Amino acid sequence: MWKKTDIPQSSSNFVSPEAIPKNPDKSAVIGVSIHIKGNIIGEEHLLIHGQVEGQIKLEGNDLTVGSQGRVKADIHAKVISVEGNVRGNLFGEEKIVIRNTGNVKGNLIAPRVSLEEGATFKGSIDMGTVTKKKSENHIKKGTQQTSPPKSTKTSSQDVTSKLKTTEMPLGRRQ
Amino acid sequence: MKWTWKNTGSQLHYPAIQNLPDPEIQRSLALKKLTGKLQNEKRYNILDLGSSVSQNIDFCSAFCQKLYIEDFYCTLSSFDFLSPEDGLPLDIVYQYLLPYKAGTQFDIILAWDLFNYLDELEFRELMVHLGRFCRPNTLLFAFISTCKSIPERPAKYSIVDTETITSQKLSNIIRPCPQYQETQLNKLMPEYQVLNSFLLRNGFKEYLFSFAPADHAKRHFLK
Repeated sequence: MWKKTDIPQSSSNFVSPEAIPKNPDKSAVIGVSIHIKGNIIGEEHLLIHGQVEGQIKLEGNDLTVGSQGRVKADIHAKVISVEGNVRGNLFGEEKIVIRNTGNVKGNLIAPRVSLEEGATFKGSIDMGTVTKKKSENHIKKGTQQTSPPKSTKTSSQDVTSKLKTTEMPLGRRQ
Repeated sequence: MKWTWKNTGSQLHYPAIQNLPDPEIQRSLALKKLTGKLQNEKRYNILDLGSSVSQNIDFCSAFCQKLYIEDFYCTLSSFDFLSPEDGLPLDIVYQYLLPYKAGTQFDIILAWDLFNYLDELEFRELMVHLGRFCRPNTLLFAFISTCKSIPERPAKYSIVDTETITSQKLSNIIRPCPQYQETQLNKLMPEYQVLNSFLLRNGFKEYLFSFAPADHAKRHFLK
């Protein structure tokens, strides 16, 4: 028989419903207790509730860092949504969203960036587009390609030159 | 920074404060002047020394090429090694806290009310450091308080439109204010000229400065 006491009391495993992608069948999930050191390369959406240190490349796919997720990595993805803690540079092909519980230290590069009320961010925001060239410059060993840019505010030459001078001031602060 | 709230960890969040007053809406003529100087086609590099505010990012995204958000007060106050006994020169500290690459040039700096929370030495050194990343005519927007006391830490400013700002106090505790006068400002930031200044109802004076390096040769070189 189940008793009330059998139900886990800890809220540490709780995952907010908002954090779960609409189509969970196509998303990989890194659970709260998982700690990964290394690079993650994938072709499906990813939801991180645990800890990741390294590089994350999900080009063409979405990445969500859940409210309990802690990521210390450069992230390449189509849409990056942060509800937890992220240290590193974020390259969003389409959009970067920092939710109200999100805390990001790093540089953001994406055509659209949005910050919800209560979110904390420190670093720079480059509202260009993550083009293929840009990705190639940043991903030394990358084998995947980003989708073609949908809209550009600056010329590709500008984007490339900006890319080359992308700073990581916060990395030195950590 | 003797009166600063110490942020002991890497967390950037301020502790939650209860019973804070509602945000104050204020008309900003200096902001209007600043936005009036922007050219339609041009994209600008902007340094925001305040905390990250979604409305400000949205507002700046219309004309910014790159936006740097520093939350400088929080950063500075989280370092304990700033005490004079430690003997760490401030220029080194600023190079560490605001480490921009050579060649970085800001077109606009939003300082908000930060200067009221710096002593003269901190203020002067910060302006010297930032001057390395300014070009002639870089615009600097700041509030200088004329009141005897100010809230314990800087307010949160949100840009509503080209001439309206809301300010949200983040603390009910007050601290003394250095009440920098214009003559003092000239000494503390000699490379910045006052373009406009307006006294606000809340006792703050808003300034729009323009970077004008005194060294003529330097000015010519930078052009």
